[in-house]
Amino acid sequence: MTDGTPGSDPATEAAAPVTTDDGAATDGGETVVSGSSAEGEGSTRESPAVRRTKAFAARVRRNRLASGGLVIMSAFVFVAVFAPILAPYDPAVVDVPNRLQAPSADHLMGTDRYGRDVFSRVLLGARIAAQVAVATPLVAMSIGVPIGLVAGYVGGRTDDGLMRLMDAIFAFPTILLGLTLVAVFGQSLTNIVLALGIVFIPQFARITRGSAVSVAQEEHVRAARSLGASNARILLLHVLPFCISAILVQATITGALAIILESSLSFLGVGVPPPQPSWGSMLRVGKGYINSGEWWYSVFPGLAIVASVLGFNLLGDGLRDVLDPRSDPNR
Amino acid sequence: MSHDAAEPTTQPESDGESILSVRDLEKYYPVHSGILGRQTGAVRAVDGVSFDLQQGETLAVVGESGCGKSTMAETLIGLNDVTGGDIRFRGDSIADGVDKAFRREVQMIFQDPFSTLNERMTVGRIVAEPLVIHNEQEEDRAAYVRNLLDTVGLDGDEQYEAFPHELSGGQRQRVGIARALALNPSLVVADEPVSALDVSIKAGVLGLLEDLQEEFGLTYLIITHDMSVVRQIADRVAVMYLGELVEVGPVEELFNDPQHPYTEALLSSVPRVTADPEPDDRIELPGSPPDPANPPEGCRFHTRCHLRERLNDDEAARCVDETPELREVAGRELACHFRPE
Amino acid sequence: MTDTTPPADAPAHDATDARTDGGDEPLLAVKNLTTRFYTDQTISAVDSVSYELRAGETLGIVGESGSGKSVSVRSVVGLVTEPGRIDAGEVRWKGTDLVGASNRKLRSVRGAEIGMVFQNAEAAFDSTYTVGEQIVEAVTAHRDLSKAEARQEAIDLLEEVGIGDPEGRVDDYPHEYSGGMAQRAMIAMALAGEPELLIADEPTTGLDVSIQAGIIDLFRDLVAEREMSLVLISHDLGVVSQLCERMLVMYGGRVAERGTRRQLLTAPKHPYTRAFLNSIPDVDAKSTAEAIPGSPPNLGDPPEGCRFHPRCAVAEAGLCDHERPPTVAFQAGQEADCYAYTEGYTGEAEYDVAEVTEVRSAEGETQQVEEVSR
Repeated sequence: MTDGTPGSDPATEAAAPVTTDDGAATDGGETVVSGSSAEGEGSTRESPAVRRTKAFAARVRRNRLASGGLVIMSAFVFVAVFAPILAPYDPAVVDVPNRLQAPSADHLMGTDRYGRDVFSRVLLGARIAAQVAVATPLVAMSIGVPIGLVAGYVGGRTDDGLMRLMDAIFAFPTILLGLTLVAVFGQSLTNIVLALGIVFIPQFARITRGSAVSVAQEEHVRAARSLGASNARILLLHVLPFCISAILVQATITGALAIILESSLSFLGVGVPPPQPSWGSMLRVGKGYINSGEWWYSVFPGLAIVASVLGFNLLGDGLRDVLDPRSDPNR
Repeated sequence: MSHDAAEPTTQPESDGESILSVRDLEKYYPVHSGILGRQTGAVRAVDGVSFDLQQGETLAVVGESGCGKSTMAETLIGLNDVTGGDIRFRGDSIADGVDKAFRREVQMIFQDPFSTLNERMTVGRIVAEPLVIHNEQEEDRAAYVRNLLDTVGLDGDEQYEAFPHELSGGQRQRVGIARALALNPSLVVADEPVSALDVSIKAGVLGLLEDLQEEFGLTYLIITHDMSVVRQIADRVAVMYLGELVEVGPVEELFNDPQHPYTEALLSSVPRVTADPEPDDRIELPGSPPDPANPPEGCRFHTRCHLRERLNDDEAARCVDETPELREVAGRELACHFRPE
Repeated sequence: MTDTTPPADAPAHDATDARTDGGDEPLLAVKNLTTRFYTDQTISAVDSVSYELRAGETLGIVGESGSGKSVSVRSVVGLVTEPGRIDAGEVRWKGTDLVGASNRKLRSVRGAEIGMVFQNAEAAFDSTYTVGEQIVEAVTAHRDLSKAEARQEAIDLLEEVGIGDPEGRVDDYPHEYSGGMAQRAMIAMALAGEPELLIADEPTTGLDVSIQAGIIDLFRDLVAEREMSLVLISHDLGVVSQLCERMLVMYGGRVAERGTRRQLLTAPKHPYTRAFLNSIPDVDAKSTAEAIPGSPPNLGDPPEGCRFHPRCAVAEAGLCDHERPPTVAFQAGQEADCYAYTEGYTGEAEYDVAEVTEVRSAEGETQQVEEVSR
């Protein structure tokens, strides 16, 4: 740290300087600040957001997990967005004479029992998966994060009460809970997103609470209180910004789980209603054809699920490593 | 920032105007143990402290870690609840809580320049925050803030858009000071204001504090463990040990002629810059400060007191049996049975 | 700030100089040591630093943030890892160059010959083992003792460093030790290998002043009783002057001035040393301590020429901001890297150059001077 905070870095083996998030190199007693010299050169006036984004992007590139995940995710998003254009056939068009065809040049992934092109249906299924993967974390976040913030900052009985409530939701096996909620809300894409969103509220609450508890100890929070800032202001300006990385990681994990959960529900028949081509519902029908040899009916949707979930997970793991260098043994 | 002209800081006693009055202040933290987590005791961080702070003066509260000075500072500005006793600001009690008006008048400068500023906010926003919270200076807030930055020795134009990571420790601390001054307070509590700074920068920030005091008529309560800081900036000093005040008096007199054995030992322990060290002159302070949850009987300092070794048995017993009261003697307050001799 | 006003004609020779009874060869010789950190920027943390230590000497390295004092000692014992690298120079420990030495060699030197004490005692210990176990581990790593003997040695060491009830304390865990005790225990661990040199990096920072005083006394006793050499690094000149007979002042990754304690405190030559001494608030008198204007240099983009020149009251534009200043040698071993004592200087300082014996450029070329005329 500059100006002689006789540094608090651990001694002995950890004597290697640690590059902190904002690029300052610290060693046992001294910090050297990168970026513009304090005596007002004014040259590198970047907000921490810009600077960190750049450093962050660099580290993401270096981290193999995150890069890999990013590649898969980009492909996934690309497909989801451009599915109707990419799809060679209209997925709803029925072509019974050509039903149950094996993969060929015409139908890359074969046809289903109605003669619909499986490839096109898989592509359109990506759309549904993408919507679920993006919207579910958003729903869960919008309720879970405020709960976590309040619980972490206020502490005491409020914290206990809120967290017990979260535990109660968390205690339900996710599929059962999802199932129940869909049964209550009714089957539609919107309702599924809502239901799954509720299922994942506790995770966001927990993660946010954890961050909030540690940020609440920091001096700038105490300073804000001493200025007379309202709790809302403190939470929004002084606590939340520091919880964002943890929330982001949780969002990617939740995205992956949401795809799995939606597919499971569709597989069970209580997910996205037909004729929408959810991968899960394709599996549902496809499983009946495994024994008779029409493997493409289930393998391709299954692979699609695997690929997208893998992409999310890799991205999430990589993000976690990038955002918290100390937790990564591969540095 | 217009304010009433400063009262002369060299003669606080003649004021008769206590801006802050503390009586038998207590701040305890409960200690829980056992399976059921019942309260089994308390850490008496502040255990019966009384003093007055005069308008315009600088009072330093000095002590080592665990003496309770930081806890007391935070309690005085309303960040902690009061367990017992009273705190009166300009005559009004704040023991039950503080209101926004109090926050305007009493501000705090914190210790660690590297965590006291929100790294995501620009300097301008940080210093303006108190104004935003209290709806002050709605017209031309930016100009006011720039001016304030200039006043604390930064460059108002240059640094307004800067982020904390671009500044050195000394500069960050100045931002903290600017923030504390934004609302034109009358009392500023500074918790270790220069401890985290490089030696060659300390003097500058201390000088700044002195200048600001003169210009704006501020009253300071400085919490520190650093005796040289006390010497440079304080008018009066209160020495704190394990939650209690043991000696209070004017800085020059107290430093030149410390009466309480703890004060003596403390002063003697400061390593002097010298070409001829004299190690044998030091008064030893053996062991570590006792556990605040379990303070010694009687005089809390008796377990480490060099004076006690020279007492006879009866006298020594008195140190254990009877807690010395802080009483006025010879121009200062002192809590010792056997001083002044 | 006691006797630090530098009268220009104060004798620089310290009659009570160090016990240089180690013979002619220095125990430790650091020569042109250069360490850089390769992160987004290249940070020049230590820039051609040289110093020597003879057996039995106590050397204090004083500096503030960015001075390079900590990095330089870590470079000496080989504790600098990526993204840091020793780019140049040599570190001769008893004749052998440690720069580029094998890990095995470094490990054998560390602990058995050079003991290290750092600032944060809690971090030095593993919280899952008792203090005794860890000291025993340090003992057996470097000495050939049985388990029982090693344990006794651990107890003896705890006693030597002033920990009361060592038999009881040896089986305690680190968190059961108070701050001061933990620091003493760390010193005990550093002594476990019976080192000839003890390097202490900010050993008292963060401790209460009364505890600090005890640690200072401990170092004094250890150096005397074990006849060890000591290198003490600190930003606190009070601590350094209590313990060290010779001192090195570092600034911006370079050595600004070196000499005996008396020389530096009574007759400092380098403008930084003078300004630094002037900025220390005094506990014994209310004085006019003056801060040094400006901030420590950005080692990723350090100033040209003399790294102190942007903050120097007597810097001469065109001279001090161009090339690295030469080393000016004074009588009795005092040296300062400053242009103000050289012939070409036409700036504001009016320093007495009567004592200049030699001026050496940064590359080592000697310009023998007996008299500098202005």
